[in-house]
Amino acid sequence: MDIDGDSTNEKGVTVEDIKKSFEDKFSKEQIIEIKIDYYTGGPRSGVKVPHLWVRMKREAFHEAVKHLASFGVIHNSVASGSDLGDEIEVLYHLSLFSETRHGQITVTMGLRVPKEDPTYESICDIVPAAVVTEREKQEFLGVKIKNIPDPRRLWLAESLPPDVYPWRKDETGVEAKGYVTEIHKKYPAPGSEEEKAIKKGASSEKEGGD
Amino acid sequence: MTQVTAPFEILIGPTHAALKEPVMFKFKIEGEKVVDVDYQPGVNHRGIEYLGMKRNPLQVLHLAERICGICSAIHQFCYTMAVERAAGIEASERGNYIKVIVQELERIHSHILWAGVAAHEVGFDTVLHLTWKVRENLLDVQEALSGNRVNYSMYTIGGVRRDITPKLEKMLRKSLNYYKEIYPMLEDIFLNNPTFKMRFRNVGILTRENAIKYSAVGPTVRGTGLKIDVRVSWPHAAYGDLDFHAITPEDAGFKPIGDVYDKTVVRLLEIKQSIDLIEQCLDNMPKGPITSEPKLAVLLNKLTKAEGEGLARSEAPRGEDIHYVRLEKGNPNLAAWKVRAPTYGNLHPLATMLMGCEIADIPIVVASIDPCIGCMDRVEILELEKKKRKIVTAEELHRLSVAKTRRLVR
Repeated sequence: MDIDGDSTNEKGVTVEDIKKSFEDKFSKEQIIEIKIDYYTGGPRSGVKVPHLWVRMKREAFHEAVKHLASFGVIHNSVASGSDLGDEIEVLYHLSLFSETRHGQITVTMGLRVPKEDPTYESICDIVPAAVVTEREKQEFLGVKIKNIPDPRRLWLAESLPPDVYPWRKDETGVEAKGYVTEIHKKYPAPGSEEEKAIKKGASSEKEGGD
Repeated sequence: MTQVTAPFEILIGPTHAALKEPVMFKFKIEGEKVVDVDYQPGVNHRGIEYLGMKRNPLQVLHLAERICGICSAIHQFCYTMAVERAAGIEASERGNYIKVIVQELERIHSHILWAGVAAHEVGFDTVLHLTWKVRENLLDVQEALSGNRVNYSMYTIGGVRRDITPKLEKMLRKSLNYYKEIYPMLEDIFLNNPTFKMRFRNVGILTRENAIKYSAVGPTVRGTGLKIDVRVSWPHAAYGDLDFHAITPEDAGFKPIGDVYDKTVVRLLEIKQSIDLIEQCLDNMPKGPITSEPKLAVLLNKLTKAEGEGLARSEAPRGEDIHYVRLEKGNPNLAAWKVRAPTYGNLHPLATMLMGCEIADIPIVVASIDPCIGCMDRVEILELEKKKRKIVTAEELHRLSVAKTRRLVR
């Protein structure tokens, strides 16, 4: 990683430039989605801050992060992820030009992997800071990251078997595996089916008592 | 007797006086020097994100606040912004200004608290008592504003829950004047006292290179001279309207080297900056409603129908905090929620800072990234060759640190 890279945006690169360069460099088949969101930065001054979302096919993802790094130093925040049913989505929240005033560009780089083969290549060679969050994604979502410099387990307890992934909503999740304890059943979320069942049970008991 | 050879391995953790989230550090030491560091967090992983995905956005509001005890406001702040962005709700103008005021108040009390902890770690307990005494004034103001000393519950989706009335504003201004008065004293103690200079200078250095490489955040990264502050670079709420810049040690006339002293300088100057930001907010406070949707049932209905994703980043006292939220149409709960607290980002940089430091400096270096105060559990010294464990208590490690100060002062 080029640590002397640009973090002050001396060339004046805009978020539209970055979006366009992605569209020029990668084909339509490689890009799943690319969009820009603008958020209000101050209600009076009307400052708007940009957020670029780039969702790539797995094969082009590593190349796309490399392309992003050509604009300047990447600041890594974190990777989030979710279970979409047949696929798992991982989103890397990165940003460029961190040392500017009102000029930072947050870029979320995402990819989707199928559950049968949830492998993709690590970006730690481009963004070394991503190692902590990639280790986290491996244990929480069950993705397999190739070339990760440190694949060891990080957050979860050693007593939890390695094939249980807490953020999965399928048979490998904590609920299906029976790790969600009785407390949840005792205090279910308001409005849920479980709560209705308990309320119904309580009221029928009451009736019986009378 | 078998020969015991270096390096030895020391485990610090899983719970530790200077870490809010229990974390384990494994040190390899040669003599007094640390030669290798590994970390093992997650000992107290509570699965808050998982819990959040089982609840609706309004319930998570209160869950988000309980991620951290000291910087509780920042998590609610980021969470409300992320949901607003996901659902396409604009927060009210006045609400945005009050959001910033609450956040900056939290920064002042958190930095003063940290200053006390840092003093304690080097055995200067007089300063610990002094800083915690002056912090009380602000906690009283927070209580008057929100009803609570910590866990303020001020934020809601679309604004805030309580207004700052003229009476409260008067009280707030009085408190700010008090802090302006005592600030020179704090600055004098921390920047000119020879004890602090000896213990803070050239200790726990984070190089500029490592700060960029491992994406350090907060005063930890600004101590190296990098002007990285997400309030300035990616403004949100009312920060875009305010006139301020990212603080580095250069603002106090020091050439930054990234040691504990530089981080102290940044935190002290940020106390002053926060007072200024609150005054700017009070002076330019817009009139109008404090929230864009005061009816919770309507708000919840809107959120259930909303579809989208939002990301919010803000600067906590300890560094950048980030929340990602995804809402699905028809799903009353959050479809995805990811939280990253600043200490998570500073974990890897901390490991590089600890490399090469002395055992007696470990408490102050770990404290320098400003993890929260808790209770140090124990430190085990493992003598690998003998397979024998020696348990060093919290008091003993603290005693080592205090002894070093005494030695230097003499």
